[in-house]
Amino acid sequence: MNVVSPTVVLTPLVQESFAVPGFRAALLEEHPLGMLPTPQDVKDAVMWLASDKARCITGLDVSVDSGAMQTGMPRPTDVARHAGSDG
Amino acid sequence: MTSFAGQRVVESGGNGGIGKCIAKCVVDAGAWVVVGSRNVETLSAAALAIGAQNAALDVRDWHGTKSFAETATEKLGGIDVGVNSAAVEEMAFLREHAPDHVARIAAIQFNGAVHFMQQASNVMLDGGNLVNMASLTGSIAAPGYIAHGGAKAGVLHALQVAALERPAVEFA
Repeated sequence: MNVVSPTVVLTPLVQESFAVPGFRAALLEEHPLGMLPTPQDVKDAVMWLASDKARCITGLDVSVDSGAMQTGMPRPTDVARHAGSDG
Repeated sequence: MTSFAGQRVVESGGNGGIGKCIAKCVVDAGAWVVVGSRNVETLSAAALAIGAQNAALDVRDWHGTKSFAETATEKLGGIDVGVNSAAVEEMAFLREHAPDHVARIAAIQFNGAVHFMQQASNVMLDGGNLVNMASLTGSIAAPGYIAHGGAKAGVLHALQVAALERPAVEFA
């Protein structure tokens, strides 16, 4: 029994949200790896935990977050600060 | 690719998005899969397209979730793996969310997760792996996610309780 905890995943819906000026830059600033996970990245973590390879793992929260656990999530003021930098 | 040869898998939310992506991959890896969704209009075709079976499922409904688990068990002859990826993506700030926002989000994100954990566990008689989709917003504060993040924090806590109550391996 385990969980997978993704950050903002690069889905079509999220890509649409990049139309908000500053949002993409503010988001990436809070992800130390400099990229957002794709649905495939999340799927890979789920597949591992669902497989026999994880048979001795339980109660684990696997963050698929490009490091955002360490930095946080952008606030509206961060988005405003970046507005204009990435359209 | 990790093999799921012969594994019998149930998945909620396998009708689209990441859930469908997971369902397709476990089918491709050799598993027998039943996907469930409340979007019954599209569920059958979506399941057929990836080689899975399907059954109606609304994880908000305890009785419906129980029926889904039992139906899937009949279709597959047992369940080895459960994946709960049913979710709704909706954000709202504290000061402006709609009157029913918290209840709607909690119903699927928290209640649904616990319903699925319970009902899948009850048909996974030989142990096996259960995976729930949670969210980083359950661990760290994200503006606009007061209901979503709160519900996911609940899922993370429920996981700890459920993991203690349901050992992955039971020693005789």
